[in-house]
Amino acid sequence: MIGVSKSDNRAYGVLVVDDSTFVQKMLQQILASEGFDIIATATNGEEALEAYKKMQSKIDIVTLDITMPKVDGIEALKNILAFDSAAKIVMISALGKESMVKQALVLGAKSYIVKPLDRTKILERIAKVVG
Amino acid sequence: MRVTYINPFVRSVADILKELTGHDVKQETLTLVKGDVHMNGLCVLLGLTGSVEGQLTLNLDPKTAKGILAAMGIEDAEITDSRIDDMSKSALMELGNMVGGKVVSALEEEGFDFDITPPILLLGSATTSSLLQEERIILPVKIEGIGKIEINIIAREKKG
Repeated sequence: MIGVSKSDNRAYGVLVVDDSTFVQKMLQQILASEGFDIIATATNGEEALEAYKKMQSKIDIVTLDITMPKVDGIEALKNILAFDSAAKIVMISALGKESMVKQALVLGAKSYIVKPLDRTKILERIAKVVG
Repeated sequence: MRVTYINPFVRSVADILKELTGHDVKQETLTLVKGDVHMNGLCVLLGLTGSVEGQLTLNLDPKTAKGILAAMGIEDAEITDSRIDDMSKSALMELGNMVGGKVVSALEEEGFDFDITPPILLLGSATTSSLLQEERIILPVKIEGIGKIEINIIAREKKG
């Protein structure tokens, strides 16, 4: 099980951030099936920062969409990393343009996955980040 | 409308639909028309902003929508002429996002810098939309075993 730590047998906690209920549901299904613990979900960058601050000790990884209302994923990435520079954030977006990917990685995202959601691709990338 | 735009649009739409559904996707003949869009029941509308402006719409009937949704993992979609359940709505808007995102990436490779607006889902059978009055390209795409989507594209370079 990719979602369970080999050292202490603890499930890795995930904060899922996406304004699409469909994407949230799919990500939760994919991650939960590999033993990850979905700690919280958020639908915009503002909620994401609030959730991260409240539950930081339980969150090992954040999946973060980019195009969202109120505060977008790039701003949320900056805000969460300003609060916790060790946060592990994986961008998952329909926007795959090179300039956007580079920007997110330069800002500190650990990985960048372009939608559609592919179970194998998501689990491989997230395993590398938590591993 | 420059030909430069068209190939990335066509390729992006076909790639995403094939990746999402796992079915073969065949492009049919492109046509250039002017006037209203005749909706087939559902229409996902995206705006293009930046160095390229315009609109992209995915026009499909409820049966095709249900087939795509089933391939995306939603087996119990409820779609009528006046109603769609929330999860199906969210999934179809995400489909629009993915097509738009792919188009943006493909056109960036051709030197154009622009973004897509969040998708809007319009619902209604035999409704005529007055949103698109400019010359546009219609690209019918057949998804084997599922149905047909009509892609409407308006794209122009921003002046100045």
